[in-house]
Amino acid sequence: MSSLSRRQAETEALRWLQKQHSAQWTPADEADLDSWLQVSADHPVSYVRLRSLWRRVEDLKHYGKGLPGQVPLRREEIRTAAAKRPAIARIAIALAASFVLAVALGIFAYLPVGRVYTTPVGGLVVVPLGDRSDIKINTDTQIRVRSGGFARRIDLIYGEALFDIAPNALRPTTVYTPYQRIVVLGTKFSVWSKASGLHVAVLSGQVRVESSRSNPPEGDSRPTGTNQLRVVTLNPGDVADVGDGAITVRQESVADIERSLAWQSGRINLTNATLLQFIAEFNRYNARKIVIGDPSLEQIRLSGSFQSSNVEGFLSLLQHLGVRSEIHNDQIVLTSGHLTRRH
Amino acid sequence: MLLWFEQEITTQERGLRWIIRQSIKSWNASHDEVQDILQDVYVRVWKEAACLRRAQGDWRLPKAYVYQVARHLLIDIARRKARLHIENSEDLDSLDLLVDHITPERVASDLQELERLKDCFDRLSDRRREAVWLHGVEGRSQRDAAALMSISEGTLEQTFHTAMRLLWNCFGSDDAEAEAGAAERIPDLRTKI
Repeated sequence: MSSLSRRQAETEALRWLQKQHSAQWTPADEADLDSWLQVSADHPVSYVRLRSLWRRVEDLKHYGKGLPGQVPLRREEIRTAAAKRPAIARIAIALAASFVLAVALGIFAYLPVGRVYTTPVGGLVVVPLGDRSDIKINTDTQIRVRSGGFARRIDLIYGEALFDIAPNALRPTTVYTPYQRIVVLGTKFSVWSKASGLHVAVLSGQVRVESSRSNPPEGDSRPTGTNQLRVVTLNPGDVADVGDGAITVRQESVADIERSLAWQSGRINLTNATLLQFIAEFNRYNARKIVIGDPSLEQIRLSGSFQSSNVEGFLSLLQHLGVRSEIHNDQIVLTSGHLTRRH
Repeated sequence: MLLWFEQEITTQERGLRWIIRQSIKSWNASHDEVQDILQDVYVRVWKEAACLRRAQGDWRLPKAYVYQVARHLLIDIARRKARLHIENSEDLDSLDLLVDHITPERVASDLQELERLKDCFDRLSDRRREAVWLHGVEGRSQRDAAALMSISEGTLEQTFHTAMRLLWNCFGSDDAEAEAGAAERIPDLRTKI
């Protein structure tokens, strides 16, 4: 078997399939196809394989949410469309709203208030800071950026953001969260401020986390340092969880951290995670929450990468795993159903 | 016979690919070579089924037969290539375990493959994406799709053809396999269903 004859058979098989899908398919063509299939075993094999590719392509319709005749946007387009043409960004309407808000608040630039950027649930905004630095802001997040001549202060008021800060000794950057401050030494790292505490993951460079219960987000920028102050320096691959003044640090691979930052491209990417973890992630990005109605489902394990807005796609996957979903009081309730068999 | 082949034999593709890659990873096989071996396995199975049909009228071979063919073919190749050695003969023996009905991990990986296809689809140029979307996904006739895109039917046909070829290459490429392989290693998907 040579690649050449395989390619030839594939090309011909595809031509036959195209012809079959056209309006002019006749019984005579059917007979021709039959005799073509008899010529060599390569022909039926290629024909069957390309036919299943065609069927998979038909399945892509589950992923498009556009109107009939409208090709769905590429993922990266979904993110930028909101900025350029809000009218077409039905899909990213939440994004558009956050941009409008960001621009409206942007007029306060250089006032002591700084610029405030807010994303709604499901939103994602990239804020360029000018000096080859930028901040990617995840769902349901608010930050404030104040740039002075000699220092830059960023407040993460709530939510999660990925900071990519170019080294600049003359104008150091400090990130503040309600009880911690993070001194940036030219680096790329993510910060997630959640109810249970702070989660910091470092991709490159070095950051210093200073935690103090008594350090308020506003006012005096220096930690009071009298009690409960903890300081830790994080290197690439370090992941720190800060809660109640205590900092725990563990090592992860940079690749793992990258994966947990799949939200940058509007995706949820989990490996060998429980259904509970998946749902917690989806609920961060969608206004309509998913709840588990049957505790036996909680520990089902899944791996995969999903568009965070594509709850329907996720639910249809679960359906194949025997999990049914119903809508009650504007919540999606998951219960176990019968395992559906395909093929 | 076509339908049987599609439903019973080509559905083993993930398992087959995995075993082919496992066996030949020592000699840096190209994507094309994997495709060739795969095609070769299918061709042999098809021929055998065709013989059976002529002899007995019933062509249905057990799914495990596909893996037997693959095993023999890979051993043949191994003999031809001195450098090549079958890395894990236990893997070849345990293959029959892969031959099974639809399982949760299979469904999950089907959906992952669809995600992969979506990624491939997104890499096409705008025109090709449009052609595939209108004709392939939405099932519009070539004429309708061509009219919507304001191109001739012939151009649409060619654009669609090229796009499908590109999808075919991209979808079977190795990074898709790597992802599928990662999914396979997760053992506990089948619990609690």
